[in-house]
Amino acid sequence: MRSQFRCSRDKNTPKGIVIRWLRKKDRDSAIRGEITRVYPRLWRYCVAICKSREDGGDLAQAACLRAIEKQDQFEPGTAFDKWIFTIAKRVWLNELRSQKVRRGSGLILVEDADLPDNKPSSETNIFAGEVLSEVMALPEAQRETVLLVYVEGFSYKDTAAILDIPIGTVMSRLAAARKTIASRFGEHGGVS
Amino acid sequence: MTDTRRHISDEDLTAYLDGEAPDDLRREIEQALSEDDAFGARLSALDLPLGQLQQESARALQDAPALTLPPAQIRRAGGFSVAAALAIGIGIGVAIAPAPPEANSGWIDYVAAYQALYVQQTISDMPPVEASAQLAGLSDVVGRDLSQVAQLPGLEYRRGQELGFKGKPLIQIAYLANGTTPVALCVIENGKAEHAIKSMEVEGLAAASWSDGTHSYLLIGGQDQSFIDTTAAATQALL
Repeated sequence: MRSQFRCSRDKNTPKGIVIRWLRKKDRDSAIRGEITRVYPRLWRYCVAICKSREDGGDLAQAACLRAIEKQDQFEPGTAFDKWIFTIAKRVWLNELRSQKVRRGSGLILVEDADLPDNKPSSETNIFAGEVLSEVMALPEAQRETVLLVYVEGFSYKDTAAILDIPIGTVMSRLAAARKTIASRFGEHGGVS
Repeated sequence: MTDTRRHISDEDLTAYLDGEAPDDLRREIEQALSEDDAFGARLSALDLPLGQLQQESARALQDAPALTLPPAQIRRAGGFSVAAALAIGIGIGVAIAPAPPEANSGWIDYVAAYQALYVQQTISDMPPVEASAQLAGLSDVVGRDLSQVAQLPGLEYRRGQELGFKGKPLIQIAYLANGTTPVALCVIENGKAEHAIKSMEVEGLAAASWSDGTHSYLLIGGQDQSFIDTTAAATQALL
């Protein structure tokens, strides 16, 4: 079989394909640049969600690879961080979380997501700050919402989109989390 | 607390604290706060030390490990397959590659540009083939018995195919070295003067070429020049 190899010097080189490829290449580098920029935040979020450095690192890595694979779906001009956080959430929910639960190291079952999470998290002592450790003790659903809004600075609307929940649910999770944290600080005589 | 205030929920107050409350709700809450001190206690019960939380979170960023992403050409999804990369990579070679150095015959530069697009998966995903049957056909095409190159030291035969360069058949035989590195042996009948094995680096790949007076040969792949040189010598001896 003769291949396109012969075409290399011919006038009929598929120029359009080459141009598309180059554009794709530009796009690929742009996406990689964005990933590198957002990665520390994404990693922090993933470790906080998984409550494990190892799993969080895997999740962040998986989300980055997925973003490269799905880069055609990213709409230029929209917020890249929102897009990749959404990917991370989906990967966590659809793939890694269930694996983690299945292999017995899961911290929370899906149906327990609203229960307080009191399991130790020795691997995540990077979150040892006074307020942050209270956030880490929140149930997963509240924790991820608090992190997205108060740490990552996403709007309610973007947070709702990332988590695929109604805005009302974002608000109720934040209100519940605020109540818990305010009461704990009151009890422990912490920060006023 | 008046009836109008009773319906203000903790969710509403949270939205107010977060600057997400619509204007009418915000005005209502501010009015309630100004008129009723007890109402302020509800806000206190939702207090979150936001500045401290953000400071503590910022420290965690410093722990983020270095990110390693796979090189662009390994990417296979998004409708951009390795096969497509190879096919259009030839065009790229023309469009953006620097002018070939004078030292090499033109075909070597083209082969090298093609080979440089090969990744492990390109070769390892090739279906197993009957080497002897393939080589018999290719031997006829190029006018040189290639049956011996099915077995080369350190190289696993993966595929032989006929390409073309300036109207002449160019045989490319793909191998995998150490199960990981794509290596190719290429043969073209071009009547170049006989010359001994010459080591070279083309497109960042280790390569060795030689000619027997009728055919020219190129062994190329990976970065291990001594492996390529040794294997080239073994191949020359077999041919």
